[in-house]
Amino acid sequence: MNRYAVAAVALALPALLGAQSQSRWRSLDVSRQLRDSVPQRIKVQYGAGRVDVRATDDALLYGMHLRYDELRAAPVHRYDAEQHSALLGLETRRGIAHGSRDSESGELRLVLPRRVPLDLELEFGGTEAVLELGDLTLQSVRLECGATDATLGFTAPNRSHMRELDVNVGAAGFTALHLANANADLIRVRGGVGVVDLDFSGTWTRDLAVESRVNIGKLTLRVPDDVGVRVEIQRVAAGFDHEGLVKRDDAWYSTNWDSAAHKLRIRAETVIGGIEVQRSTR
Amino acid sequence: MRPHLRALLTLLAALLPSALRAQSDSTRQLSRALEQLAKGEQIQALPPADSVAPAGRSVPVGTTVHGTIVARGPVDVGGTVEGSVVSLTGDVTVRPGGHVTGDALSVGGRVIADGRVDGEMRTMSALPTLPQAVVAAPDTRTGIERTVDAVRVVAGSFGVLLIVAIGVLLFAGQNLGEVVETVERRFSRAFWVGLAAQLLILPGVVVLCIALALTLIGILLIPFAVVAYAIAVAGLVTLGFLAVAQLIGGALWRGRDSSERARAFGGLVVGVAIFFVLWFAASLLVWAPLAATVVRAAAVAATWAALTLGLGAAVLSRAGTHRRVASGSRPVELAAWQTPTPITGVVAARRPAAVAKEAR
Repeated sequence: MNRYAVAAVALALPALLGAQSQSRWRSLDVSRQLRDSVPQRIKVQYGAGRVDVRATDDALLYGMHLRYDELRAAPVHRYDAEQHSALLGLETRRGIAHGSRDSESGELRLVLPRRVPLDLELEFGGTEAVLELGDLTLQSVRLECGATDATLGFTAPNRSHMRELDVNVGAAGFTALHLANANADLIRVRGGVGVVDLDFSGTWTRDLAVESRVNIGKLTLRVPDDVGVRVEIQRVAAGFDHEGLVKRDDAWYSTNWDSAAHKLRIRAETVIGGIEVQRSTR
Repeated sequence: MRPHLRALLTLLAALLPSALRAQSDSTRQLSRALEQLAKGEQIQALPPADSVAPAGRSVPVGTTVHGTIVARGPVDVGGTVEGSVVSLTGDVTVRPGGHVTGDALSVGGRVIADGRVDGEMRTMSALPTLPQAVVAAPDTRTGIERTVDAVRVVAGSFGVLLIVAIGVLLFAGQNLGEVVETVERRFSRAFWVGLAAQLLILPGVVVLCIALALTLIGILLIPFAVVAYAIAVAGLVTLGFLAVAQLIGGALWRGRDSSERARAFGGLVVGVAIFFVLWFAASLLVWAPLAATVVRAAAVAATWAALTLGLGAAVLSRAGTHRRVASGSRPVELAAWQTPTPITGVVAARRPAAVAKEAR
């Protein structure tokens, strides 16, 4: 029996390996010179592949490098000078299925100017995204990810006050680092299934509110120990690790809540999984 | 006429057609490139093909060019271009003080902008193919290539099914046996049940979703339930198809000297191969569309009949777990200590203990 099985697998394997899809790879670099510092709206859409977004010192409004399979996708780079808005990225060609094996080799690298106020919208599908948004002048950020392994970082403080940082992840692992540097009033994180890790280290300049909802998965919030924390929890079948927090009325408070210079208000919802608040030294 | 002059003229006459062909190919390529620039890259006011610079182009300081520049070599801008600048095979350089009011585009080179570019700066490895051309690309394959590709797809599918068959035989051999028996014993009923099951697959998933939604807490489980439902249906269909294949294959390949497992495997492989013979034939006839369509229709019909029959049998035997249905009655398994009840006129069988005593 085993002899037959091995023979059948050996016969089938070459046929399986041979059945590969065709692809035609292209590269494209697109950039636009910076003329002024009028606020701009930049939207980036990208299906599958690797994504890297960061600040640049070059006098560019945007600079995008794409590597893509021409048989599956077409580059998008439209700029509306009157509306001060740009649409960048890649769109799937009509009638072409998503998610080939080769799509993993696609790449988008985007650089943005440090001094131009930006409203940034990022929509990614199945990607591996590294978004280093520190030292930019961000007024708002909306990030939507599908099946993504994404890391959002603010290694340097945002140059302007951010109204809102809105993150919506599907089935993914999402990590946000140095969120205090985002200089935001409100951070909203919604997750479907996955692990969400939010690190609130960085330079605190204002109080911060966080609304987080992870349906199924683990939500970890890492907060510096000199920041006052108030946590409101709504959960169905989820654990809550509240070490170092004390319950008052309908919320959990850190012991330094009344004396802390900066306060973090967290409203966390989860159905199945766990919520953990970790206190860290700076 | 001198002999060497005659030879030269003969050579020129021989080379003239190929030179003309090369020139016409080059013009066609250039026209296509201009169309790609206009439609794909949205470059406005392109010059006609005969106005494209055959090599590099330079716009000296203090001069102004009205309209788009396209060159088949590097472009150097020191002055002003009121339009876009395109190099099809080299760099585009905008020197300090230079000004391009449109886009600067380089194919296979770089855009070096020390001056001012009002539009976009683009560098690309090749001009993008227009959408119609991308869609039409598969049609450019030769008949042999299309046949090889089609055979490859069928071979791949055959291989996958064979691997699944081995897995089923190893890990669910008993279930497969029960489904085979159900097909054998309840042939027509299995077919009609299979047909009904096919019609109920979609309503079934809708009912499942509604039922989960009504429980409120179950709303979250809907995605998982849909996936589980799809897996269950796929499992039943596969099990049923393999059972039909084994039944047919077993009838043709008996393997008398082989072990029971080897016989089962041999029958399964032969059965699956029989179904794939038609698909292979259709893929080999790709070069003849009418014949391929006829053979493919036959393959679809045979496969559908097997899938329906198999699905019905898998449902009837509850994926091979319901043996009463499979055999028509509950199996009687006597324990070692039991003796058959004596019936009038029949001598009762001896108890095993008594046999043991006699043996001593």
